[in-house]
Amino acid sequence: MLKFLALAFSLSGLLFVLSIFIHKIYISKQKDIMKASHFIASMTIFMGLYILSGFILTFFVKGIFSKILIFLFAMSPFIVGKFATYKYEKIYSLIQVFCVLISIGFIFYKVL
Amino acid sequence: MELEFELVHECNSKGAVLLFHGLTGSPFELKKYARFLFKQGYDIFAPCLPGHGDRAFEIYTVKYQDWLSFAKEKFLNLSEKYEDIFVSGICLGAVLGLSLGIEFPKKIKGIVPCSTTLYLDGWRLPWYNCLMPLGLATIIRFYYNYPECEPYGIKNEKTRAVVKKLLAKSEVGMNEFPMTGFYELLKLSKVIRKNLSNIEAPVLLFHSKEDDLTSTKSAEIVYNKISSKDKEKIILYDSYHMIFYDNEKEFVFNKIAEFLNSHIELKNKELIYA
Repeated sequence: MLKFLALAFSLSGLLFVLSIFIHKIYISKQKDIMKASHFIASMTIFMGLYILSGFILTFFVKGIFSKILIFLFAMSPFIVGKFATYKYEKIYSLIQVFCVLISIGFIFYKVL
Repeated sequence: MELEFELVHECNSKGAVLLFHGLTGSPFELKKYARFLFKQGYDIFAPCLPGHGDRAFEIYTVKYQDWLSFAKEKFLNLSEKYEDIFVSGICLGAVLGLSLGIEFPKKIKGIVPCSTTLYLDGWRLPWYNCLMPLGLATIIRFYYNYPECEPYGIKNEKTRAVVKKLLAKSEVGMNEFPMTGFYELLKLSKVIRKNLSNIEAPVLLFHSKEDDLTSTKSAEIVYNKISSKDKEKIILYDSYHMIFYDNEKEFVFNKIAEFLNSHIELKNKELIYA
Protein backbone atom coordinates (compact mmCIF):
# COMPACT_ATOMS: atom_id res chain seq x y z
CA MET A 1 0.00 0.00 0.00
CA LEU A 2 2.79 2.40 0.96
CA LYS A 3 4.64 1.76 -2.29
CA PHE A 4 1.47 2.09 -4.33
CA LEU A 5 0.67 5.45 -2.69
CA ALA A 6 4.26 6.62 -3.14
CA LEU A 7 4.07 5.73 -6.83
CA ALA A 8 0.73 7.47 -7.27
CA PHE A 9 2.10 10.54 -5.46
CA SER A 10 5.24 10.65 -7.62
CA LEU A 11 3.44 10.00 -10.89
CA SER A 12 0.68 12.56 -10.32
CA GLY A 13 3.30 15.08 -9.14
CA LEU A 14 5.35 14.51 -12.28
CA LEU A 15 2.31 14.88 -14.51
CA PHE A 16 1.33 18.04 -12.67
CA VAL A 17 4.79 19.57 -13.17
CA LEU A 18 4.84 18.46 -16.79
CA SER A 19 1.44 19.99 -17.44
CA ILE A 20 2.62 23.31 -15.95
CA PHE A 21 5.53 23.34 -18.41
CA ILE A 22 3.34 22.35 -21.37
CA HIS A 23 0.89 25.06 -20.41
CA LYS A 24 3.60 27.71 -20.25
CA ILE A 25 5.26 26.66 -23.50
CA TYR A 26 2.33 25.67 -25.68
CA ILE A 27 -1.20 25.84 -24.26
CA SER A 28 -1.11 29.46 -23.05
CA LYS A 29 -0.38 30.54 -26.65
CA GLN A 30 -3.24 28.50 -28.09
CA LYS A 31 -6.22 30.37 -29.48
CA ASP A 32 -8.57 27.43 -29.01
CA ILE A 33 -9.83 28.30 -25.53
CA MET A 34 -11.92 25.14 -25.23
CA LYS A 35 -8.82 23.00 -25.75
CA ALA A 36 -7.05 25.02 -23.05
CA SER A 37 -10.07 24.50 -20.75
CA HIS A 38 -9.79 20.72 -21.06
CA PHE A 39 -6.06 20.86 -20.53
CA ILE A 40 -6.43 22.91 -17.35
CA ALA A 41 -9.08 20.47 -16.13
CA SER A 42 -6.59 17.61 -16.57
CA MET A 43 -3.90 19.62 -14.79
CA THR A 44 -6.29 20.15 -11.86
CA ILE A 45 -7.01 16.42 -11.73
CA PHE A 46 -3.26 15.61 -11.56
CA MET A 47 -2.82 18.18 -8.83
CA GLY A 48 -5.84 16.80 -6.97
CA LEU A 49 -4.38 13.29 -7.11
CA TYR A 50 -1.02 14.61 -5.90
CA ILE A 51 -2.70 16.32 -2.92
CA LEU A 52 -4.91 13.32 -2.11
CA SER A 53 -2.21 10.66 -2.37
CA GLY A 54 0.20 12.86 -0.37
CA PHE A 55 -2.42 13.34 2.32
CA ILE A 56 -3.09 9.59 2.60
CA LEU A 57 0.66 8.88 2.58
CA THR A 58 1.06 10.83 5.82
CA PHE A 59 -0.89 8.06 7.60
CA PHE A 60 1.31 5.27 6.24
CA VAL A 61 4.80 6.72 6.31
CA LYS A 62 6.85 6.21 9.47
CA GLY A 63 8.41 8.97 11.56
CA ILE A 64 6.83 12.22 12.69
CA PHE A 65 9.30 14.34 10.70
CA SER A 66 8.47 12.52 7.46
CA LYS A 67 4.75 12.74 8.19
CA ILE A 68 4.91 16.52 8.69
CA LEU A 69 7.10 17.01 5.62
CA ILE A 70 4.87 14.95 3.32
CA PHE A 71 1.79 16.70 4.67
CA LEU A 72 3.36 20.08 3.90
CA PHE A 73 4.33 18.91 0.41
CA ALA A 74 0.79 17.67 -0.20
CA MET A 75 -0.66 20.97 0.97
CA SER A 76 1.90 23.04 -0.98
CA PRO A 77 -0.53 23.87 -3.85
CA PHE A 78 -2.86 25.52 -1.31
CA ILE A 79 0.00 27.27 0.51
CA VAL A 80 1.52 28.59 -2.73
CA GLY A 81 -1.95 29.47 -4.04
CA LYS A 82 -2.71 31.47 -0.91
CA PHE A 83 0.29 33.76 -1.36
CA ALA A 84 0.49 33.83 -5.16
CA THR A 85 -0.24 37.08 -6.97
CA TYR A 86 -0.78 37.78 -10.64
CA LYS A 87 2.30 39.99 -10.79
CA TYR A 88 4.62 37.28 -9.46
CA GLU A 89 2.77 34.32 -10.95
CA LYS A 90 5.88 32.97 -12.73
CA ILE A 91 7.93 32.98 -9.54
CA TYR A 92 5.17 31.23 -7.62
CA SER A 93 4.80 28.69 -10.44
CA LEU A 94 8.52 27.94 -10.12
CA ILE A 95 8.20 27.58 -6.34
CA GLN A 96 5.33 25.16 -6.92
CA VAL A 97 7.35 23.13 -9.43
CA PHE A 98 10.32 22.94 -7.04
CA CYS A 99 8.08 21.87 -4.15
CA VAL A 100 6.66 19.02 -6.20
CA LEU A 101 10.06 17.90 -7.53
CA ILE A 102 11.64 17.97 -4.06
CA SER A 103 8.68 16.00 -2.66
CA ILE A 104 9.12 13.34 -5.35
CA GLY A 105 12.82 13.14 -4.53
CA PHE A 106 12.02 12.79 -0.85
CA ILE A 107 9.52 10.01 -1.47
CA PHE A 108 12.01 8.13 -3.65
CA TYR A 109 14.63 8.43 -0.93
CA LYS A 110 12.27 7.50 1.90
CA VAL A 111 9.93 4.88 0.40
CA LEU A 112 10.91 3.70 -3.05
CA MET B 1 -13.89 53.83 -24.65
CA GLU B 2 -15.93 55.58 -21.94
CA LEU B 3 -18.55 53.11 -20.80
CA GLU B 4 -19.95 54.50 -17.57
CA PHE B 5 -22.86 56.90 -17.78
CA GLU B 6 -25.28 59.05 -15.83
CA LEU B 7 -28.81 60.01 -16.87
CA VAL B 8 -29.90 62.96 -14.77
CA HIS B 9 -33.12 65.01 -15.00
CA GLU B 10 -32.71 68.75 -14.98
CA CYS B 11 -35.29 69.03 -12.22
CA ASN B 12 -37.84 67.03 -10.22
CA SER B 13 -36.50 63.52 -10.32
CA LYS B 14 -38.24 60.91 -8.20
CA GLY B 15 -34.95 59.70 -6.76
CA ALA B 16 -31.66 58.11 -7.75
CA VAL B 17 -30.98 54.59 -8.92
CA LEU B 18 -27.44 53.28 -8.63
CA LEU B 19 -26.81 50.47 -11.11
CA PHE B 20 -23.95 47.97 -11.10
CA HIS B 21 -23.02 45.76 -14.04
CA GLY B 22 -21.90 42.14 -13.92
CA LEU B 23 -18.54 40.39 -13.79
CA THR B 24 -16.51 41.01 -16.98
CA GLY B 25 -19.38 43.14 -18.27
CA SER B 26 -19.70 46.90 -18.50
CA PRO B 27 -22.36 49.59 -17.91
CA PHE B 28 -23.32 49.03 -21.55
CA GLU B 29 -25.34 45.99 -20.47
CA LEU B 30 -27.49 48.29 -18.30
CA LYS B 31 -28.30 50.89 -20.96
CA LYS B 32 -31.80 49.69 -21.89
CA TYR B 33 -32.73 49.23 -18.27
CA ALA B 34 -31.29 52.64 -17.36
CA ARG B 35 -33.15 54.42 -20.16
CA PHE B 36 -36.41 52.83 -19.05
CA LEU B 37 -35.95 53.94 -15.44
CA PHE B 38 -34.90 57.41 -16.58
CA LYS B 39 -38.18 57.71 -18.49
CA GLN B 40 -39.97 56.75 -15.30
CA GLY B 41 -38.49 59.84 -13.67
CA TYR B 42 -35.41 58.52 -11.89
CA ASP B 43 -31.85 59.76 -12.12
CA ILE B 44 -29.55 56.95 -13.12
CA PHE B 45 -25.94 56.35 -12.21
CA ALA B 46 -24.10 53.43 -13.79
CA PRO B 47 -20.41 53.43 -12.90
CA CYS B 48 -17.85 51.05 -14.32
CA LEU B 49 -16.46 48.68 -11.68
CA PRO B 50 -12.73 48.36 -10.98
CA GLY B 51 -11.11 45.83 -13.30
CA HIS B 52 -13.65 46.47 -16.07
CA GLY B 53 -14.12 48.76 -19.07
CA ASP B 54 -11.02 50.84 -19.78
CA ARG B 55 -9.20 49.13 -16.94
CA ALA B 56 -10.09 45.56 -17.92
CA PHE B 57 -6.46 44.46 -17.49
CA GLU B 58 -6.89 45.11 -13.75
CA ILE B 59 -9.34 42.22 -13.48
CA TYR B 60 -6.31 40.02 -12.74
CA THR B 61 -5.22 42.09 -9.77
CA VAL B 62 -8.49 43.54 -8.49
CA LYS B 63 -9.69 42.36 -5.07
CA TYR B 64 -13.29 42.05 -3.95
CA GLN B 65 -12.55 44.70 -1.32
CA ASP B 66 -11.91 47.13 -4.19
CA TRP B 67 -15.40 46.46 -5.55
CA LEU B 68 -16.91 46.89 -2.10
CA SER B 69 -15.18 50.19 -1.38
CA PHE B 70 -15.99 51.44 -4.90
CA ALA B 71 -19.71 50.68 -4.44
CA LYS B 72 -19.70 52.26 -1.00
CA GLU B 73 -18.00 55.41 -2.28
CA LYS B 74 -20.50 55.78 -5.13
CA PHE B 75 -23.41 55.32 -2.74
CA LEU B 76 -22.06 57.85 -0.23
CA ASN B 77 -21.51 60.40 -3.00
CA LEU B 78 -25.11 59.97 -4.12
CA SER B 79 -26.49 60.13 -0.58
CA GLU B 80 -25.14 63.67 -0.29
CA LYS B 81 -27.42 64.75 -3.14
CA TYR B 82 -30.40 62.39 -2.95
CA GLU B 83 -32.69 61.34 -0.17
CA ASP B 84 -34.21 58.37 -1.97
CA ILE B 85 -31.64 56.00 -3.42
CA PHE B 86 -32.42 52.61 -4.93
CA VAL B 87 -29.68 50.14 -5.78
CA SER B 88 -29.86 47.54 -8.50
CA GLY B 89 -27.50 45.35 -10.46
CA ILE B 90 -26.99 42.15 -12.32
CA CYS B 91 -24.69 39.21 -11.48
CA LEU B 92 -21.75 40.67 -9.50
CA GLY B 93 -23.66 43.98 -9.51
CA ALA B 94 -26.54 42.32 -7.66
CA VAL B 95 -24.11 41.07 -5.01
CA LEU B 96 -22.70 44.59 -4.67
CA GLY B 97 -26.24 45.95 -4.31
CA LEU B 98 -26.77 43.50 -1.44
CA SER B 99 -23.46 44.57 0.11
CA LEU B 100 -24.77 48.16 0.25
CA GLY B 101 -27.95 46.85 1.82
CA ILE B 102 -25.81 45.24 4.51
CA GLU B 103 -23.68 48.34 5.04
CA PHE B 104 -26.55 50.87 5.00
CA PRO B 105 -29.68 49.02 6.12
CA LYS B 106 -31.60 52.23 6.93
CA LYS B 107 -30.37 54.50 4.17
CA ILE B 108 -31.32 52.47 1.10
CA LYS B 109 -34.83 52.88 -0.21
CA GLY B 110 -34.87 49.56 -2.01
CA ILE B 111 -32.68 46.91 -3.61
CA VAL B 112 -33.32 45.12 -6.89
CA PRO B 113 -30.80 42.28 -7.35
CA CYS B 114 -31.08 40.53 -10.71
CA SER B 115 -29.44 37.17 -11.49
CA THR B 116 -27.65 37.32 -8.13
CA THR B 117 -24.44 35.27 -8.43
CA LEU B 118 -23.55 33.76 -5.08
CA TYR B 119 -22.68 30.37 -6.61
CA LEU B 120 -21.38 29.36 -10.02
CA ASP B 121 -23.68 26.45 -10.63
CA GLY B 122 -25.52 27.26 -13.85
CA TRP B 123 -26.23 24.68 -16.53
CA ARG B 124 -23.79 26.20 -19.04
CA LEU B 125 -20.75 25.45 -16.93
CA PRO B 126 -18.86 22.33 -18.08
CA TRP B 127 -18.66 19.02 -16.20
CA TYR B 128 -15.25 19.90 -14.81
CA ASN B 129 -16.80 22.88 -13.01
CA CYS B 130 -16.64 20.66 -9.90
CA LEU B 131 -12.85 21.08 -10.05
CA MET B 132 -13.16 24.84 -9.85
CA PRO B 133 -12.77 25.19 -6.04
CA LEU B 134 -9.51 23.24 -6.28
CA GLY B 135 -8.24 25.32 -9.20
CA LEU B 136 -9.27 28.59 -7.57
CA ALA B 137 -7.44 27.84 -4.33
CA THR B 138 -4.15 27.14 -6.10
CA ILE B 139 -1.77 28.65 -8.65
CA ILE B 140 -3.98 27.22 -11.43
CA ARG B 141 -6.35 30.18 -11.12
CA PHE B 142 -3.78 32.32 -12.95
CA TYR B 143 -3.55 29.88 -15.86
CA TYR B 144 -7.09 29.92 -17.01
CA ASN B 145 -9.82 32.17 -18.40
CA TYR B 146 -13.21 30.59 -18.82
CA PRO B 147 -14.37 31.38 -22.37
CA GLU B 148 -17.54 33.38 -22.87
CA CYS B 149 -19.51 31.10 -25.18
CA GLU B 150 -22.98 30.19 -26.43
CA PRO B 151 -25.57 31.11 -25.27
CA TYR B 152 -23.87 34.23 -23.82
CA GLY B 153 -26.51 34.37 -21.08
CA ILE B 154 -29.23 35.19 -23.59
CA LYS B 155 -32.11 32.99 -24.68
CA ASN B 156 -33.37 35.30 -27.42
CA GLU B 157 -31.47 34.23 -30.53
CA LYS B 158 -31.55 37.59 -32.34
CA THR B 159 -30.17 39.47 -29.35
CA ARG B 160 -27.62 36.72 -28.81
CA ALA B 161 -26.28 37.15 -32.33
CA VAL B 162 -25.86 40.90 -31.78
CA VAL B 163 -24.09 40.41 -28.44
CA LYS B 164 -21.83 37.78 -30.02
CA LYS B 165 -20.70 40.30 -32.64
CA LEU B 166 -20.10 43.01 -30.06
CA LEU B 167 -18.18 40.67 -27.78
CA ALA B 168 -15.97 39.56 -30.64
CA LYS B 169 -14.82 43.17 -30.87
CA SER B 170 -14.50 43.30 -27.04
CA GLU B 171 -16.49 46.53 -27.18
CA VAL B 172 -19.03 45.84 -24.47
CA GLY B 173 -17.16 43.56 -22.15
CA MET B 174 -14.60 40.80 -22.01
CA ASN B 175 -15.06 37.67 -24.08
CA GLU B 176 -13.71 35.46 -21.32
CA PHE B 177 -14.05 35.16 -17.56
CA PRO B 178 -10.67 35.23 -15.80
CA MET B 179 -10.60 32.70 -12.97
CA THR B 180 -9.13 35.37 -10.71
CA GLY B 181 -12.37 37.31 -11.22
CA PHE B 182 -14.41 34.24 -10.25
CA TYR B 183 -12.12 33.75 -7.26
CA GLU B 184 -12.82 37.27 -5.97
CA LEU B 185 -16.54 37.00 -6.74
CA LEU B 186 -16.81 33.79 -4.72
CA LYS B 187 -14.88 35.32 -1.83
CA LEU B 188 -17.25 38.31 -1.92
CA SER B 189 -20.21 35.95 -2.06
CA LYS B 190 -18.99 34.21 1.12
CA VAL B 191 -18.82 37.54 2.98
CA ILE B 192 -22.26 38.58 1.74
CA ARG B 193 -23.89 35.25 2.61
CA LYS B 194 -22.70 35.59 6.20
CA ASN B 195 -24.26 39.04 6.60
CA LEU B 196 -27.49 38.81 4.61
CA SER B 197 -29.58 39.05 7.77
CA ASN B 198 -28.47 42.71 8.14
CA ILE B 199 -30.52 43.69 5.10
CA GLU B 200 -33.71 45.46 6.13
CA ALA B 201 -34.50 47.50 3.02
CA PRO B 202 -37.28 46.38 0.66
CA VAL B 203 -35.95 43.84 -1.84
CA LEU B 204 -37.25 42.71 -5.22
CA LEU B 205 -35.31 39.71 -6.54
CA PHE B 206 -35.28 38.48 -10.12
CA HIS B 207 -33.78 35.18 -11.21
CA SER B 208 -34.24 32.97 -14.24
CA LYS B 209 -35.13 29.34 -13.77
CA GLU B 210 -32.83 28.61 -16.71
CA ASP B 211 -30.00 30.93 -15.70
CA ASP B 212 -26.94 29.49 -17.43
CA LEU B 213 -24.36 30.87 -14.99
CA THR B 214 -25.96 30.61 -11.57
CA SER B 215 -28.96 28.59 -10.45
CA THR B 216 -31.95 29.90 -8.51
CA LYS B 217 -30.24 28.67 -5.33
CA SER B 218 -28.54 32.09 -5.02
CA ALA B 219 -31.85 33.96 -5.13
CA GLU B 220 -33.45 31.52 -2.69
CA ILE B 221 -30.65 31.99 -0.17
CA VAL B 222 -30.94 35.76 -0.38
CA TYR B 223 -34.73 35.64 -0.10
CA ASN B 224 -34.67 33.33 2.92
CA LYS B 225 -31.86 35.03 4.83
CA ILE B 226 -32.58 38.75 4.54
CA SER B 227 -34.51 40.44 7.37
CA SER B 228 -36.55 42.71 5.07
CA LYS B 229 -40.26 42.49 5.75
CA ASP B 230 -41.01 43.81 2.29
CA LYS B 231 -39.45 41.26 -0.04
CA GLU B 232 -40.45 39.54 -3.26
CA LYS B 233 -38.76 36.95 -5.45
CA ILE B 234 -39.76 36.66 -9.08
CA ILE B 235 -38.66 33.63 -11.08
CA LEU B 236 -38.49 34.07 -14.84
CA TYR B 237 -39.19 31.16 -17.16
CA ASP B 238 -38.19 32.47 -20.58
CA SER B 239 -34.78 34.06 -19.99
CA TYR B 240 -31.20 33.12 -19.18
CA HIS B 241 -28.68 35.12 -17.14
CA MET B 242 -28.84 38.52 -18.91
CA ILE B 243 -32.44 39.27 -18.07
CA PHE B 244 -32.23 42.93 -19.19
CA TYR B 245 -31.74 41.79 -22.77
CA ASP B 246 -33.80 38.66 -22.87
CA ASN B 247 -37.37 37.67 -23.72
CA GLU B 248 -38.93 38.95 -20.50
CA LYS B 249 -37.12 42.27 -20.28
CA GLU B 250 -40.28 44.37 -20.55
CA PHE B 251 -41.98 42.41 -17.78
CA VAL B 252 -38.85 42.85 -15.62
CA PHE B 253 -38.63 46.59 -16.30
CA ASN B 254 -42.31 47.16 -15.55
CA LYS B 255 -42.14 45.17 -12.32
CA ILE B 256 -39.09 47.16 -11.21
CA ALA B 257 -40.77 50.47 -12.06
CA GLU B 258 -43.83 49.35 -10.05
CA PHE B 259 -41.57 48.47 -7.11
CA LEU B 260 -39.69 51.77 -7.19
CA ASN B 261 -42.83 53.86 -7.64
CA SER B 262 -44.69 52.07 -4.87
CA HIS B 263 -41.89 52.85 -2.43
CA ILE B 264 -41.74 56.49 -3.42
CA GLU B 265 -45.53 56.74 -3.09
CA LEU B 266 -45.42 54.98 0.25
CA LYS B 267 -43.04 57.63 1.50
CA ASN B 268 -45.26 60.45 0.19
CA LYS B 269 -48.30 58.93 1.91
CA GLU B 270 -46.38 58.63 5.16
CA LEU B 271 -45.43 62.30 4.89
CA ILE B 272 -49.06 63.35 4.30
CA TYR B 273 -50.25 61.34 7.32
CA ALA B 274 -47.47 62.81 9.45
